[in-house]
Amino acid sequence: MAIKRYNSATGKWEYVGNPGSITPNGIGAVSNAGGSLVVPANASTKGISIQATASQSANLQEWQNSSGVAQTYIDPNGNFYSPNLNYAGKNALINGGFDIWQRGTSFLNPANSYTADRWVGSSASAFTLSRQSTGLNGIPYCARLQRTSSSSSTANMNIAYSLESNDSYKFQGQTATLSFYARAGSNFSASGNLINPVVAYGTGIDQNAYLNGFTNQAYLVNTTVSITTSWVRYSYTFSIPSTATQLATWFVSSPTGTAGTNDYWDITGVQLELGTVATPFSRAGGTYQGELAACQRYYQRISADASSSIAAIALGFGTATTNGCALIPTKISMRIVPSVSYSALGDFYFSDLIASANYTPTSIAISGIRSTTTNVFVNFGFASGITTGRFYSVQANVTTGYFDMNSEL
Amino acid sequence: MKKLTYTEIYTEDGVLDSVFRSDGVSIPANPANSDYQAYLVTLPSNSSKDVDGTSE
Repeated sequence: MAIKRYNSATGKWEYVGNPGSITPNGIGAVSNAGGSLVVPANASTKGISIQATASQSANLQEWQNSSGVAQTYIDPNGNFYSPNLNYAGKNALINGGFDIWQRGTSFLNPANSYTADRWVGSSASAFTLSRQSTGLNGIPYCARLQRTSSSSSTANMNIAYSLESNDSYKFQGQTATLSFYARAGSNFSASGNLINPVVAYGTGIDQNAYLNGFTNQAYLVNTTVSITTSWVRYSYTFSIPSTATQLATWFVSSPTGTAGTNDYWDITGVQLELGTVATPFSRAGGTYQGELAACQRYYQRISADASSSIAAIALGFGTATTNGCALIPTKISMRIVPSVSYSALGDFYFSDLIASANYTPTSIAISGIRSTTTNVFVNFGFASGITTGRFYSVQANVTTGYFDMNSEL
Repeated sequence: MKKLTYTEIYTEDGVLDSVFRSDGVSIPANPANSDYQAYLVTLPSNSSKDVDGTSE
């Protein structure tokens, strides 16, 4: 195919580009209406083909700005890159933008426990992990890892993420890129202002690398980077073995000396994606609602999120004078049958709508053999007063009562 | 860190239904649940309890 363009200045048709590099396979039509239009000669003919040379290293195609800088391009491997390439699933890390904090927004001395959704925080002491504002366009929140002012503890401060196997398989035998934004507080004390980004893989199924370790755990990235008091985006590209069935990433800092008021570092926009370059940050769920739903696959809090003090969270059933049960629906399907914890026994009661009486439980326990990933069967114990066979409204204190459903790795 | 202890809860039929952990977490006797897996690790090596919650 050849491409010709009409030059109105000369009044002649001319080849576009170097004619020697264009294979004249025939052409259907060329328009000169302010640009070039290629119309294949027939329905079974390709319009334009760009074929790489052996060992092609430059982009196959680019759309450039007026300065000749590529804005959107197709790299030599055929990957498409665009500044607005934002779609669900591109980023394999859920809550990489730290938008979702169902458990709370500040955690003092989290001991290998979940903080922001999907993220485990840990340090031995004098450590707060909290949500802060970033000032970044499109990524309003970050996680701040801060040492308590005046503390001399030099225990590492860590934040970690483990992918479940289902989200890891697509990386097998592929090249991937980890990217994140980081900045330091004015008193960040780590030697050289260093933090330690890590990417690890393993060959087990649904393990937590940071809490328990992966089977055959090995590092894909284990390096240090010096951060500044301004937001900077960092990225690392690496190859993943085809045997990898799990991936994880974590970030470590090592405080020194005595903490000042602003001995912290912030992180956000954490992204793990296929490909050789860091594309613009994208939420795994695509939207806020998608991100929240993705988080709730692993953890969700069931509460009486209504203004009415008698709002029900489930329908209960009396099974004996001292026992009742309830089937509590989860908001979305969870990863596995969850573990259950609750605020306090006194935050709940079985409300007898016939006798107008309320009964506070003396025990609450999940029934493992009757629960599913969408319905959690909970047994309640009572001192007395429950009527066998009667339905009850299971109610929770509007302000303080909740059930936590936990299906984390 | 305080050592966690576990209380097993059985059905009327004698099947392990859940495990109550001392920090207030009620754990389903489900082999896919990571809290239950952690509980299994605490059992003596000669325990006859299977991961599906049954005892011999």
